[in-house]
Amino acid sequence: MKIAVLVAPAVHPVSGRPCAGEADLAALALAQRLSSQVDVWYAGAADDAALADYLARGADNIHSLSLSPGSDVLAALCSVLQGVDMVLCGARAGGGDGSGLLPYQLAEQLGRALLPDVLDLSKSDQQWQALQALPKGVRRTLAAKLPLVASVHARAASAVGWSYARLQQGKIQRKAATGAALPQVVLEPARRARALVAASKVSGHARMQGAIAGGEGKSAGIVVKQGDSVEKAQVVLDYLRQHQLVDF
Amino acid sequence: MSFSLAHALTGLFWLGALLLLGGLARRASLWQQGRSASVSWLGLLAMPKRYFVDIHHVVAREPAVARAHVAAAGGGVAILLLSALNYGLMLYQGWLDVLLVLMAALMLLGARMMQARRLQAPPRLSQGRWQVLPARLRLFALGSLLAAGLLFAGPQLGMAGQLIAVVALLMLALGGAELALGIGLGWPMKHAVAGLLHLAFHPRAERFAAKSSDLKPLNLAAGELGVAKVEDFAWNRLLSFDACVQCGKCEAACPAYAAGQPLNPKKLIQDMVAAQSRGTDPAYAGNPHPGREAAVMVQPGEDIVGSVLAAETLWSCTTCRACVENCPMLIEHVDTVVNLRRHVTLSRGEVPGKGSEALANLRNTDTVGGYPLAVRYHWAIDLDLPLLQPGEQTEWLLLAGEGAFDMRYQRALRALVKVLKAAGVKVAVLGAAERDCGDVARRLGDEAGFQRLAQANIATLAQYRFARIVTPDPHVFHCLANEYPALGGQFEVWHHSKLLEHLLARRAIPLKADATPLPPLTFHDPCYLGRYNDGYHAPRNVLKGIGIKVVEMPRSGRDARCCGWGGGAAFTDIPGQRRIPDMRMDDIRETGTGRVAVACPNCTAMLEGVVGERADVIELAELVAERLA
Amino acid sequence: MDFSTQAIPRIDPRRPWVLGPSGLKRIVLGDDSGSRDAALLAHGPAHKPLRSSGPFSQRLLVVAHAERGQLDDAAREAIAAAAILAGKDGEVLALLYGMQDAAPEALAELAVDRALTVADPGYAPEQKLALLQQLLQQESPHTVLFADRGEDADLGRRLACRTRLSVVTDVVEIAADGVRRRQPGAGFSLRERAQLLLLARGVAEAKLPFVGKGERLQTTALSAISEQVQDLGSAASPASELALEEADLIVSAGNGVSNVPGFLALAEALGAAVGASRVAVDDGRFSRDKQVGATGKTVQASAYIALGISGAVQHLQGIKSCRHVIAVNLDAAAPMIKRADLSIIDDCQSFISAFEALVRRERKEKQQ
Repeated sequence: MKIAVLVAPAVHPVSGRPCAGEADLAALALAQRLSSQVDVWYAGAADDAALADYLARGADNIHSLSLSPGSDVLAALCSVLQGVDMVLCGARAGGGDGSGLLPYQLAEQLGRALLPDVLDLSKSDQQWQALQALPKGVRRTLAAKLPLVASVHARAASAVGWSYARLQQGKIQRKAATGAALPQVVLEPARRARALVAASKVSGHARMQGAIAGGEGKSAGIVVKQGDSVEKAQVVLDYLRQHQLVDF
Repeated sequence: MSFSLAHALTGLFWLGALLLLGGLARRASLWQQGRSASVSWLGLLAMPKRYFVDIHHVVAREPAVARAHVAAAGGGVAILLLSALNYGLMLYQGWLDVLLVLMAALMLLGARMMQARRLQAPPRLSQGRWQVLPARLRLFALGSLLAAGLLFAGPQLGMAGQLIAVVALLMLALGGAELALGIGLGWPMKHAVAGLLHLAFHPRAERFAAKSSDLKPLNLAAGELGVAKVEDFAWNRLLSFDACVQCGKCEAACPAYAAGQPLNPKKLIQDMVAAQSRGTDPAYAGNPHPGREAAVMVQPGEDIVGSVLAAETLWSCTTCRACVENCPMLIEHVDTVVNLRRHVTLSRGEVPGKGSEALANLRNTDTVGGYPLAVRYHWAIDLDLPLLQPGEQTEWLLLAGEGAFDMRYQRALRALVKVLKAAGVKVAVLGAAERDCGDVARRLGDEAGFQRLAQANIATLAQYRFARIVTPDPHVFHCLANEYPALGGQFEVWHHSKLLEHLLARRAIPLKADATPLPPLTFHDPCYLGRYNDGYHAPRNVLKGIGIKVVEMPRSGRDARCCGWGGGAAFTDIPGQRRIPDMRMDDIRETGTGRVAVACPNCTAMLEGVVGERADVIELAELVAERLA
Repeated sequence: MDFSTQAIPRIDPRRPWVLGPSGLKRIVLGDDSGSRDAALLAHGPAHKPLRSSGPFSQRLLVVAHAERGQLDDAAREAIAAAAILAGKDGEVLALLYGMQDAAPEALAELAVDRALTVADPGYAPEQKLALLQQLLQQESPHTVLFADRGEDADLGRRLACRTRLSVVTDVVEIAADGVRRRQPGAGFSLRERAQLLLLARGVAEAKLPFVGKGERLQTTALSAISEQVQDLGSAASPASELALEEADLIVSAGNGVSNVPGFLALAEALGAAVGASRVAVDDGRFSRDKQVGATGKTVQASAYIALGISGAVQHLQGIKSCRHVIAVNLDAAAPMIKRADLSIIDDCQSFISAFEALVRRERKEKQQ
């Protein structure tokens, strides 16, 4: 089975330096577990140094489709992924737009089934079963036939450590490609985002009261001293139920 | 006489000599598995000095054992030399026999003392063949005594004499076999031959000239990636393992062993011996790595880590050098640990615990904790600490190190700056241009990461003009002072304890006039200041200079116990029975002072991290700042 | 003046109080149970005005999945964003999965004007897309809003790729000059407002001073469309296997918990992940991967129950983003009590056994 893994450099949140994205690394590790025929692809404008982490963490060879900055990678990727049985990528890139749209676009363009946010893939009969990560620790099993696209959840976490030797041995093969220009975006420094707030027409008195009392979420700080343990346990359970923190 | 005792002795001598040479050749073939190393043959000439001075320095710390060894080894060597003259060269001189008798008596005494010690052997000593060695040496000495005595007394003895002669020869053969066969079969007396050769061809020969504790850089461009297999060790490193006498002084000094982590430095060296001899040596009979069984033997070509040595053993080491400092055979355990780690890190990328995260942080942010470089000097924002600009000049450049990101240690840094300002010292900092020194990367085996950081720092520092560097972090100090020179960075670096000592000695720091006596406290030596750089006196002089009495812990100075941070051990965090800082806090508690002075950001963090009741942990600079007028 | 030597004990007016039978606040000397800084008495349910009575000339659509019949905060924020953006002549239309049982008042309270409530078919993206496309055709909303998490995020991305409508994901701010999204490593990026907006948390204040009309659209049956991907069912992973970072409910043990098996039994009964303070880990009662705090793991649970944890600064750092913190401790002065939303002053051992028994009993009753 031929697997293609898509990787892209992430931006380190502290230093802003390029590094590997956790989800992409997880996709790479999963692919290498499933098949010996794994091709690693990158499309975009990043230089080789930005992809170094992927070499150091398990990719022997990266095919890099070089595009000019600000161009759409979709067409270039689709053209090389046509004959591939399974396409794996991180659910979200840690760099570029990081919009999480690419796996959906690829599945749509290539006309394949999409398995989103998978933690693991395994074969049973003619189908591939995927363990999907949902919020709050819920796991769902999905099944689909090849060819397919799967986005790998960052929680699948690659167990392959960073190795200098692998970095030295790994190779990046560049190929020029073209893509449609994406609309320009204006970048701004980060700040606290302003939330939309409904204009309120309540009286000054009511507003004052609201300010004193705080919201219902802020009425906290209840201290219970009286009663025996059973009564106190009931208080905790009531609290959990009141805030829908338990399902019984 | 129906047979000539003298001729029999000659035969026995040459037989023994031949066996010894054959054994040595066999052992040498094991050492030849290793890589070539540039050694000086002049080392053979330096051997006596190294033996009588350098080894003596270590052995003399235990005078009774030293005396026993002088008697046994001195007597033994003298017997061998005299026998070589008298019987080997067939001189058969009576006066030599007299000397032989005297030397044999000396050896007998030494072996007797050794044997007496073995009766109540401390648990660190290996058993097995080592336990019976003194008895064998006694046999040899007694045999020599009898034979030489017999020959001197001469023909007066009849049948009885012949019987005694046969017994003496048997004793000599039995006892002599220890030495003659020892080197070849890996028996205890191997240490005599291997130990002497080890002294001559020591892998760190510079330690005989001056303190040498720096790790040696790998030639990454040439593809050196640490030690995977026995063949990757230099041949003289393999030789050094054979010098081990299994005395267990390293075991007794090792903080990881005491904490029940799976590391026994003695066993680690014996694991290396087992690896190079492919398990043909007699079984190891000492304490194991805590919590571990004896490891399986290596197959030819197999990696050391994972076969003969578990990775956890390797990662338990705090690189505190207590083992190296205590080794009477001058074996360099830390070099071996780091060389093996280099392979695991650089080739396999398998660093346990938060170690890999620390290395990733260093790659991505140039700090161990993953902090933005720009916030390193935020604690000094109101201290008017000048930021050095390229081209500008300052007398002292302060490198705060990783401690600058720790809110607790920032108090110490502020105190240091306050003291330096009060003393009128012209000091400036690099601000966001300062990167991590690479200590953690190097000790965790990431030599590539260390060299990258070191080269970047050397290039940065080259842009600035300063006379000296001062740092409160002994790890930064050690890296810059001892390890950067090999990469082309020559700087004069002072630990802040030395600068404070210097300023106090010159009365440059204005101290409070009132003479209220200060409560005594104890001082915890940082490994990288103390054992790595012999910086034992400066911090104590500083405390003395501000009128504080130091109550020493039993383990202090050269014997100080590590706080548990070094070598990235705080990151790899290999579980044991106890935590190393907890044990150190017990040492501190025993002094009854309730306060401990420290001189390292990492010791500060580790000791302050002890939960429950603990002593106050105060940085040296904070104590000085308290006394400022 | 030295306050401690005063003859008359002074009463801190902000100290906890209890509500007496007559409805009056009472501060009882020597007793500090009750509410601290609690809400003033509510004057009955406030009557909120209708946002707009119409007529509507344009509309926004919000798509959301409910969990156990409830919308979470992210979905509420998406609806609130729609209601704020709608204006006088704009209608808030909602497609709600799993809220077929919701009362019209509940929908109105959410500020929804008209809603299509459909039972959640589980994993059925093709069916959901078909219904959505049908709805888009019928109602032609100018903007479609999704919360950018979970099923809504998935459906929003699928819709964008299927219909080729313009889309912006991870929207953190909707402003007059466009929408802002978080750009990895580069702060914000400003874009034109797209037809599909996938909203990050905090785009809008979910508390609204008005209500919607709360009408219901005729429920249309989902058309039977074959799915490429088969749903083989889902299961919540057992709490013990759940990574702390992922857990929604955590019970955490500190020095005050001596009966570890009893504690673990409580965690199992509650279906909560197990955490521990550094002291408990160092003691060897728990493995290192259970440690919560600055040196251990940072957790984001909705509820964090701290049993016998005094609350060192490092520990509190690790639970900074937990929504509800419940502390059980014998020491009422522990820092954890100050952080907690609900504090029980009690011995941990007896509380744990009482709480476990209660939880097991209630669960059983629920199942019957």
